[in-house]
Amino acid sequence: MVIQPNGGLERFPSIKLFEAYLNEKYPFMRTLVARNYGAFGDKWAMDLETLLDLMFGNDKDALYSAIDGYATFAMDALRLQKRFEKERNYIKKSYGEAAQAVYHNETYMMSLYLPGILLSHYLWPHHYRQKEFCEVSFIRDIQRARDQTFWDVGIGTGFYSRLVLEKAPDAVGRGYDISEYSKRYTEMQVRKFGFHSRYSVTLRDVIHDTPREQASFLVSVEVLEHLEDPLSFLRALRQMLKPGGKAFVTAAITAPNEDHIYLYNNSEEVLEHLRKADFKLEQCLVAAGYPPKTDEPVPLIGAYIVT
Amino acid sequence: MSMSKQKVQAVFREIFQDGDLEIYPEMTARDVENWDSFNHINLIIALEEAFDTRFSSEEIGRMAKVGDLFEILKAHGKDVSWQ
Repeated sequence: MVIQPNGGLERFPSIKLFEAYLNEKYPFMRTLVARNYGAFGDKWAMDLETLLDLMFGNDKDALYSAIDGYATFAMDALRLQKRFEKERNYIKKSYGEAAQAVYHNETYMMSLYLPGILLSHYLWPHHYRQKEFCEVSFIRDIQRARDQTFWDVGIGTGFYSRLVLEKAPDAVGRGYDISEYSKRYTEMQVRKFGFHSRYSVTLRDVIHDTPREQASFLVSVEVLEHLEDPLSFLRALRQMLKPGGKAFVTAAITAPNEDHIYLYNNSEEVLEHLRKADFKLEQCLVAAGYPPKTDEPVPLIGAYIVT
Repeated sequence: MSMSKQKVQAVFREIFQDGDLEIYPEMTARDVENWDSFNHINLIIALEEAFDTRFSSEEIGRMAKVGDLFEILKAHGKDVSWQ
């Protein structure tokens, strides 16, 4: 089927179902789908339709539950952002406290956090731009490489592992995370897309137990801000990357969340950590969740391709 | 009009910058210009300050209609009514 650019959302039944549920239950989010479609067009719609079809199929209850998770996740983030505008700091929390409240909390992870983050990759413009940047500027290098082995460190939902496996059909990967629920969710996603024969997940804290085996490519998306000492983590990543290898590392900047501990105030602070860990910058993207009204801080992502 | 309705309505008028806005139980974001996610959270924070309470994440997601908001305020022990 040839899809004409921006020919309307009527050709995407799962997205229409998604939009109808948002309109009914969360009317204040009713323009979210149309706004993103207007900004990113048919590629966005085809990507999201594929995700919804493969992840939820005909199970409307599972889809609605994921949307409920997203709505709560997004409103929590906005409320924290409003606090951040005044206080300019993240609510003080140790890594252990965050891990207990979030990463090892099955209900929170499976019903809210992971579905929320997964859908945010399409519903938050800066997350979608980050995904596009990864595809165009990083995964294309994997496609051309002889050795297409990659590690994804801090897999979260498994979104980026799945993206690499999807766009680089010869890639073989391994994910590392500390959360058994991230492992479960990632394995489910990779299996539903049919890539499970090329991928596995290991539960491991790579700072304290750094794997000796190195890969040619490495992905670590929005992990740094979850750590008390992101520089130690970056040094561990450096050891996991083969000499001459390439990494896609991102961080949330001025973007509070339930489990964000380390505050990056700007992209330069992330770059400083990357340099200290002996990474060299090749390309970067900094994108905002929405434009500021005046001079208030807005949530940013910094995405860095480093060698 | 009850004092509590006036109080809620005053918050709505301030957030949506519309001095003529009249709230009613079935009113939703579809009926008010600029009632998006950003203004939803602004509304929540302003109502929390006005009624000295704190809404849970689950309650914030359940406030599709203004009538829902009144029910949630009642559940917080606030004396709110439409009459």
